[in-house]
Amino acid sequence: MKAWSSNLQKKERAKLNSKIDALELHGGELIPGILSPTGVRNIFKLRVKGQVQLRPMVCEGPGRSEEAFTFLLGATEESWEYVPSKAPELAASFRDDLIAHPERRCGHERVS
Amino acid sequence: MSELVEKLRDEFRDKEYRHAYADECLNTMIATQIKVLREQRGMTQGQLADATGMKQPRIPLLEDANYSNWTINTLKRFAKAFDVALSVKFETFSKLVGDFEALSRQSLQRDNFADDRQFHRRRSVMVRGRHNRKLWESNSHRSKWSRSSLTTVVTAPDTTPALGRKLPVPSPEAREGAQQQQNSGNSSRGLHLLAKAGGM
Repeated sequence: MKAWSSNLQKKERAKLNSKIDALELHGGELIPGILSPTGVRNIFKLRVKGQVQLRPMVCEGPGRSEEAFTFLLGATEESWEYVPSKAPELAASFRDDLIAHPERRCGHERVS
Repeated sequence: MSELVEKLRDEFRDKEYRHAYADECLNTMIATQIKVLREQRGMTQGQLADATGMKQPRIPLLEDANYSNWTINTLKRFAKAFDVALSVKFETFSKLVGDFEALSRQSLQRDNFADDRQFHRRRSVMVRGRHNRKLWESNSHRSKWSRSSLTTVVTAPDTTPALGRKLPVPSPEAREGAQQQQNSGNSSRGLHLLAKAGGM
């Protein structure tokens, strides 16, 4: 995620950070449209509109008892196609991996 | 000091960055408040579309934190549909970020005019006249007074007993009855009788 967001333009990074802060502060319930389903179970996209349509893949938890979100994969959307293609499926495999190896999860590193 | 302001202190040194961040906050807060106000009033998206004179498919687009093409006119239509006032003002970044941080369903809910207590309470309210005098009056008399009377010293008749209104005097029989009640230890009932006999 850090490498992916480091490559973004300043304006895109600002918008992304605003959405990440909103998610961290208020969760996925209060703000309409902040998280959208991807069609793949347990995988959501954080939608950030702009010249580049940012769609980082997110899951809740994945621990059952904690109120947390985990960024699984940096992705964008161009002409209704994900870049990388099959981003939600790829994110789902990362989530499975994370459940099997929880020590691989680390705190979010903000890129400003 | 807001934790979020503290977190953004360095990032906001860049003008392009802070304006992009603030734009996103604004869009998020508008969309969220529209949804919260609609739900507060128990309206469906279809009912809100009718109330605003918009087509139904447009409402979910506007109730989305990613919508960014707001116009004052669109916001006015929502304000009218919710029967609230629209307030558009320029703000410091710290205020905006503080509001964004404190966002909650409760902080975004607003009463419509019918439930706006400031406009409907029965107690004394303060109004300011043309020469900025503070004038106090009872709500129940407001409708009787003309605009010009509020800019002068108001001596409204019959406002309170202290201003000279004569209270009806209870008859000797009523006073005697009240005295008996008081002697028997039922003072509240005695007061009630006195008031009744006095025509209060």
